[in-house]
Amino acid sequence: MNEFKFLKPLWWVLHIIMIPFMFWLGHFVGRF
Amino acid sequence: MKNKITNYLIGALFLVSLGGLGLHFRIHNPEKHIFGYVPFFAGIISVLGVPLLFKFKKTVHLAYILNGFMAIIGIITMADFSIVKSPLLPDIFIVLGKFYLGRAIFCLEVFNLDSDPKPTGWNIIRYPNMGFWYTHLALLSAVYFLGNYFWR
Repeated sequence: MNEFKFLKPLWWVLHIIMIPFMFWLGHFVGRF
Repeated sequence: MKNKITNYLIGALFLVSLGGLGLHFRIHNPEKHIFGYVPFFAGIISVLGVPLLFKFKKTVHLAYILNGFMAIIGIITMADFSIVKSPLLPDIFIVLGKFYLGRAIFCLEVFNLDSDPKPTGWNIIRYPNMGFWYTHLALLSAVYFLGNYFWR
């Protein structure tokens, strides 16, 4: 998809942020 | 007419998000519980940021991605609360509705109205098709579960 091009350079950044964030969110919500 | 429909859908997205923010504020008041800040900030972005990003053609993709991932995070966390505390199925339906509103605005803006794209092979699970969202829902759920289960 051509329109997606602008996000392609962010692919690694997004995955490096989102995977640990979801892991942390699971831990964080699990405390309550 | 297309512009009008887009505006109505953006308005609906704004109102559904505002409703979600209001519901969250009542259930998880940030002043009472620290985790109330999570839905509070997500709600602020949903109400003010996402509809505005959908309004401009240049930022439609960003809005679609933000809207989709916030819906996924909402579905996962509320499903967790449903299992552990009390059922939140109606709230999950609200966030699903918000997701589909975003999808509708995106399709209106990006695809030709008369087109009927049928992705095949790997494209089924690639952006911007629905498979992309199903895969990310499944994978992010798995990561969330690992954090929830193993990091106590």
